Amino acid sequence: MEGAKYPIVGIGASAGGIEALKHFFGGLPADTGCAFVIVTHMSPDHRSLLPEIVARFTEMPVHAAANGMNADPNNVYVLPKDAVMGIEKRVLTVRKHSSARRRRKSVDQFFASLSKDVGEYAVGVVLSGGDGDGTLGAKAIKENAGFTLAQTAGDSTPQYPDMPRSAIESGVVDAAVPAEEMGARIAEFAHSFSAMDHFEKAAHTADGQASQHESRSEICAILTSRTGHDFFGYKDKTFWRRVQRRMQVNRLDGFGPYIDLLRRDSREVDALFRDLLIKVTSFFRDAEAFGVLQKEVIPKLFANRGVADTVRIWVPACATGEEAYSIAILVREHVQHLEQAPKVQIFASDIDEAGLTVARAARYPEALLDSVPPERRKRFFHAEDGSYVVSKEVRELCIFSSHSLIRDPPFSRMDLISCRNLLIYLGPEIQKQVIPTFHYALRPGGYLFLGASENATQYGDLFTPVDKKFRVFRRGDDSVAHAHLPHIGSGVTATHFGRANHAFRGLGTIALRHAAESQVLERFAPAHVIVNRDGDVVFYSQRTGKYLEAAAGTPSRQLLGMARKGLRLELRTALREAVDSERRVERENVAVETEDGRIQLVQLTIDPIVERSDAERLFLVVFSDIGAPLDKEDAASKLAPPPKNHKRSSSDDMVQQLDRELRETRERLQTMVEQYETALEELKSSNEELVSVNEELQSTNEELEASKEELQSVNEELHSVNSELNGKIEMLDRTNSDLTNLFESTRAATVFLDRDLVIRSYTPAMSQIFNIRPGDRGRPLTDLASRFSLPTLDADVRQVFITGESLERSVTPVPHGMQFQLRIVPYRDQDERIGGVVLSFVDITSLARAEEHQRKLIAELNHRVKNMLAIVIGIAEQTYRSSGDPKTFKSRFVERIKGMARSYELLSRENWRPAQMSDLVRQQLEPFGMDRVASNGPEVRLSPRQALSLGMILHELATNAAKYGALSAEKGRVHATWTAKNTKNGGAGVEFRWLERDGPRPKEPEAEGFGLKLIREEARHALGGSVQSAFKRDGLEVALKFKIEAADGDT
Amino acid sequence: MATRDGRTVPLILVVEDEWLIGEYLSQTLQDMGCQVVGPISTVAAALESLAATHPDGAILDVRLGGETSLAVADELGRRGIPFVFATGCTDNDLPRRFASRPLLLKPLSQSDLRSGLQGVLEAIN
Repeated sequence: MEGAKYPIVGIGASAGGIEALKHFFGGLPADTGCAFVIVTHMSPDHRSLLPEIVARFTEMPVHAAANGMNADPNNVYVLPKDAVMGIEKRVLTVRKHSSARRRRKSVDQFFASLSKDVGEYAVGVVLSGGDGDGTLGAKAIKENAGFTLAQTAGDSTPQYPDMPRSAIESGVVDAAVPAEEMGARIAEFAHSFSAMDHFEKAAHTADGQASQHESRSEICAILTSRTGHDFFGYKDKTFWRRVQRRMQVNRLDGFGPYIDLLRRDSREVDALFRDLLIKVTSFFRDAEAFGVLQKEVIPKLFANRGVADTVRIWVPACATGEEAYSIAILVREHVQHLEQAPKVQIFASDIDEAGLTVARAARYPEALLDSVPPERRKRFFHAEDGSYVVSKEVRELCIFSSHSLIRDPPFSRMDLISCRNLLIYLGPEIQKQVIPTFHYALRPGGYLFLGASENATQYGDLFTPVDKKFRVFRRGDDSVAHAHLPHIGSGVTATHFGRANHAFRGLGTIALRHAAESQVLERFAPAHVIVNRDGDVVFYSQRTGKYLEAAAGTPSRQLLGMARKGLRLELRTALREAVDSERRVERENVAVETEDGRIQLVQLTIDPIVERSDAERLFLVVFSDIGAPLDKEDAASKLAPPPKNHKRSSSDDMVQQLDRELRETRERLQTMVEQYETALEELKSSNEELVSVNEELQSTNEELEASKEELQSVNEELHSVNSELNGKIEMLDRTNSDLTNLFESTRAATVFLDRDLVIRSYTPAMSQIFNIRPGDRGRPLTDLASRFSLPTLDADVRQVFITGESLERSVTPVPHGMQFQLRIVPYRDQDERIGGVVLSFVDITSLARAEEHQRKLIAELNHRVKNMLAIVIGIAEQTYRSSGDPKTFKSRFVERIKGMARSYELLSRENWRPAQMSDLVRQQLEPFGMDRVASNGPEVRLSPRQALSLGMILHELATNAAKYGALSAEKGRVHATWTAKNTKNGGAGVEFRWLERDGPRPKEPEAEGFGLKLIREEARHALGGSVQSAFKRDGLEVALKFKIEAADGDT
Repeated sequence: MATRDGRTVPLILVVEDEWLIGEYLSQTLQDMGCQVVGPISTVAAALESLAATHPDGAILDVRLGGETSLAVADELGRRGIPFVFATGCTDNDLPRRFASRPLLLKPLSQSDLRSGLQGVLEAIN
């Protein structure tokens, strides 16, 4: 531990833990310098998401704990499922849970291990949970001077308060605070270590020592005056550590303020007192005291006891059961040497149900077994996943029940009561009540075993000390007349007890008197009846038969009617007198004839009953025999003069009769006794059965509770996960609606099929094109195959399934003239398995059309190019024939080809659509100088064919003009004009005129040259028109008429 | 069939709508020693000419402006006059009945014409 001194905080949580953890981390300051380890009850079957969940609560790194992981400051570690965790030298140890059983005390185990490892640096936090796990662990931490906290209600409430409550009620929790406040306390705690260091350093200086000594004296003085205990002899280090811890709890940082607090608040004195005394119940705590118990007391309990006897031991305030089990172990050890062992019952009781649950589970972390010697450990415990379980032979001796020492009736006829370290927590008033209760509960000679700081010597009349040092007492043998019966009153609280005690003694005496009186009455009182003033009987005592007998006729309560012979008369007169006088009336020697005919002399007393003044007046009629029954003669003589003869009956007869009666009665008694014994046997066996059933139920119950815990934890996790899932579902919904919208908007017809080619879903485009309706969902697509005219569909899809590769087919659905490209793609799920196929139909109708169109265009182009070449050949031929020499041929031929090229250029610029006539004119004449050309005309568009043709004509005209005509002269000009008008055939008729001016006077050529022929033939054939030319004086005039060809006429 | 200088000269019908090509074909055929009817640029004119003359052979451009020369081909076939098609189209979209007819691809050189019309010329000589 050298070097790395920082607190490690163990956090135990179970049901309701997630909420509590959220508040805990919410209230935790940043950088506390502590390591945090979360231990929960996790179902082994459930994958825990706790680390992820906790990571949302804190910025510290959260790890799922693994074996060998360092517990570093400002890190959070979470116990993985199905494992037990410990810590050694600040390194976590995580072991797989070995048993399938679910009785686990994972929090206890970790806390105990933590306290052992880091001692005062251990912090135990017990949060919401449904059982008593964590209590024992907190005990261990507290004992090693660590710091313990448990959750109480505040802004946040523990949803299942049992776990923290159990720890708090065991008195081992330093700070019971709401979860959100724990963080601040832990931070203070972590900080306090530096103060402690400082304090320890101070102890080495002389001044410091002196002042510490002074503070200590003062604190001890306060403690002594309040509690009567002197702590001056306490070990220094322990003393200061406890005081320090109390100061931390009270958030004080100096001895001065703390001493002030002690002076002010007696509760703080009590708290310090308890902390100083803290002797956490643990197995064989105070080994020596248990040694005395073993040697001095236990053997005596079994002395002179047979098999049929029962030794009864009571452990009130058993808390988590260690004390009870320790005694049970001693008993077991003793009993094994006995030949004939009596039955033993150890009643362990407490008011804290949670503690009892822990006790019943009989499962303890190793730390609490420190004082158990190895041989006992081996014999009476078995280790299971790092904790120790009490063996069955010990366990079955102990009966745990919820019981209040103060409020509930005590157990009785006990041989031993062991009540250690309870009285120190009780005020003197309550002690005054409790010790007599012990006295009552013990049988004479029974033993009382108290804690080291407790005493019963002031009750010397009740108990005599057996061992003063180890607080063993013996109940006095006296059968004290004023038995201290405990008061049993549910409404009386402890503080009222002193007062109530007196009242109870009064009551007790009366009750006793009643009991005594009734017994006296029963045994010794004369027969009597109570009558009203009319003589009607309202009460009979026993044995009135001697004096009264039932009268004949209807049943009646009339006393006088029932009086035996001789009595009636005296009774009547005496009653009358008593009623009248309201005073006692007595008659002596009234002779009453008994059944056997003898005479009994009776004293008759009639007494008005005084007490009931308010109600009807009653009279007590008492018959007292005077002497034994007499024969009639004797009676007569006695009564003077009793003139009677005595008829003697045979005494032998009577004896015989009595004998017979006695025999019969004995037989009847015998039968009864037998029946009674049988019934007893039955009861015994059913009792045994019930005990075992009870055991079973108990263990089932414990298991159920454990699984309930787990289920609750799982449930919470699921809640938390659920909310996350909800978020994801929302996201999915959004994505889904995006997809739906995509489906709606996309024009692609897509259909999803499963492995059996059943339609799972499809896009709306699919329903438009193939007429698939919602009702078709779930039908196999092959049913609809006819709509696709795809006979191979089935085989194609199967092939995709087999190869896992997509396929393409082109489809022409039956009812449409449309064309589709069908792509069959495997539908892969997350595991990359083919779970179906996706068929997408891409509409390629327009594409197919475009392709067709393009094909035609290319063919057309081909045709044209070839035609063109043929024309070029034709031009070459003609040019060659009209040219004299190769040089002329070359220049003319090239000129003509260039002219054609210009027209092509224009047309290609116009994208082979009809071209403007004006553009064509400009294009052809530009090389000859546009300043010398005047062109004018309306907008006319020419098809490519006509444009090419007219282009050639214009070229011929222009070259001719440049060679021989107007353009050959300097001032010559050309007018190229055209007009257009509609003709009856629909197309526009165009008239183009070419006028040359200011050139040399033209000469009519002798023979028609190729130029003119070309013009003429082109006009005729290509333009479908006519041409007229005239060589006038002013210049050449050419008129060209043709009809505009329809735009696409040439294709 | 015509005669020139006492020798029989084959009479060839040229049907071609592009006058420059028709002109070229005519002159080339004439250079080859043929006599030419045409060039004729429409179906109607070709049929008319056939009614009046009986050529020994014919060259038919398949496409004539907006129409085709198939009617002329049928007439020639009916009358047993051998002929060749000349076309710039590479894809053969001629009806099947003309599948056995020779097809010359434009542009045509003299040797093309010679080999195309060989059968015709041999029949005459």
